[in-house]
Amino acid sequence: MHSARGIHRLRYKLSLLLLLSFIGGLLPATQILASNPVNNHQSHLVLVTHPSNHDRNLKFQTLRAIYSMRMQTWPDGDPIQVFVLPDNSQAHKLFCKELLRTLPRHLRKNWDRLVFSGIAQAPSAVTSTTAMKQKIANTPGAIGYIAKEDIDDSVAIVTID
Amino acid sequence: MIQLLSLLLINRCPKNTHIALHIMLVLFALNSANTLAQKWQYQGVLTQGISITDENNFFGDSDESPSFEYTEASLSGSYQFHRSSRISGQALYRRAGAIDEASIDYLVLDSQFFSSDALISGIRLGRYKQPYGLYNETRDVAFARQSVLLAQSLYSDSQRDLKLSSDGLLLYTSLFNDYGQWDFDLSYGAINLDNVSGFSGFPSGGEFDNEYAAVGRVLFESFDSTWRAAITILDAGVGITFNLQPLFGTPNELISGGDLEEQEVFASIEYNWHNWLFSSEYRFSHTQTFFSPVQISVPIDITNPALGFRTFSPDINIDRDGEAYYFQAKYIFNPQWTSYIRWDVVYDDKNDKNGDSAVNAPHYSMYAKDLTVGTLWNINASMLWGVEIHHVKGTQWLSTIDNPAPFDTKEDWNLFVSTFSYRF
Repeated sequence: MHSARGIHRLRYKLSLLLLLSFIGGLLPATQILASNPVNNHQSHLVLVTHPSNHDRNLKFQTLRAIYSMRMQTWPDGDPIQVFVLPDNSQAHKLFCKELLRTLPRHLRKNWDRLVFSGIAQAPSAVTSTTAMKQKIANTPGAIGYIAKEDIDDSVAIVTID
Repeated sequence: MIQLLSLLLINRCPKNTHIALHIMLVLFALNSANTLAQKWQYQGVLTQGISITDENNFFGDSDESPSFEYTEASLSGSYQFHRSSRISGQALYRRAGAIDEASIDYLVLDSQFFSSDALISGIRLGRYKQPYGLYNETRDVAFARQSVLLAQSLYSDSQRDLKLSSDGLLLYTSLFNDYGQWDFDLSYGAINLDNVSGFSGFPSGGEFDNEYAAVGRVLFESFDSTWRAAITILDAGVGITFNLQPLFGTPNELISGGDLEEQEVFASIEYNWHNWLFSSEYRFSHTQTFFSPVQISVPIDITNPALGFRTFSPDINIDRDGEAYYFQAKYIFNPQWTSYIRWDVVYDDKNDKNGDSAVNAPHYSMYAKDLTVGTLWNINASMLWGVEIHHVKGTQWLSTIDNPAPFDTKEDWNLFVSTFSYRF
């Protein structure tokens, strides 16, 4: 067992470590004040699907059910393929904010929870909006989001009630 | 992935190349015929921890010098073999002090039998994680925990097996309405308990029987994730038979086994407000313990054994209402850094908060009050570092395997835990 002095020394060390960890936590706080999640030139984001998909109009709840990764099939029975951009991309932040009405970190936390407990699979990640469009154009049952100006016949627009 | 496996097969079996080629072709054909672009996923997490205590042992001999006996390695995967059916499983290696084991953490066949535009229902068969509170299903995944260690009052690491997973079936329904997402889970199965040594409190070892758990949970999450709330109801029981039945010893050691029954009501809430995340969970438990004592025979008259023997059978039945809760406030500085403070309390018997009725253990083994502060740093998407300091009064959730002599423990103690985790 420790001597009384030893305990005091340990307590002192523990308090010091705690203090340091809090200072460490405070420092990066200044960074978020400068960050702006909404980028104006991409605010015309639209939800798109593979042209063979007939479900072109979704209820907000259904969109959330799809992006919760719980819903695995379209109403006609075809499997759903969910595509997303990286959490820190402007387009994804905008998608979460405007279409899903949540934050990327909440969505990610939920996906982590589901994936690690085996309840659902994670969405397929793509690195750019160009890749997103290509994937959606080539994957039946796919759903994702791209900039309005990039729309062409290779994908179909999905509207939300 | 499948292609890669087939290529490996070819390299491994040069003599059977054409067989392997055939397998590969079939797999390719299956793959291209399937409309699912991504049907096979896997991921893993590695966590290494260090624990230091000034008194008592936590995750190894942490008292004398820092202990590194906290390691978690998990590999999980899922395979979507049908558009509404999937197999998913996780292999887990876990070392936490004296407990050092590899196990199948979960392995389920998940089948969705109903899916409309806002309602999904399905069944999970096999070994499932108990739908218990907000964090049990992901308790061994550092990236899904809200702190380095989950609140030990409710997610005790020393008694984890009782709540962890069961072999049986689970029915689930997810409902999406104007308010948010509602998840209903109902499960019944045999609790996955390997052996008594894995269950803290019975160092001599033994066997379990008739273990069962019925768990029901309603979980709500608002669409903007402002609120998460859950109510869990649990009814569980287990029978225990000890290996060692010494003739002489303290009253506890004369018990050959017993039955434990527990009913719980568990309420959970999480509230996001600006950069704050407040969470709190409360559990009320009713525990009935029926001990089956060893029959002790002693001569009626020690000087004249011919007079015969009489038999002792000390009757020990314990009926307790327990209570546990915590409040946590977490500040999210940015996506990388979060710090939190938590007040975490557990009483084995809420009508005996001082633990005066403790059997063969100090009174402070029947409660624990823990003030915790900690910080998590998400270094990047795949690395997480966390540090946590606990100031604890009481030893309720202390492992009796790491602390075999209850009266050698101290009531007031401090714990420092730090973990580093990597995921892929």
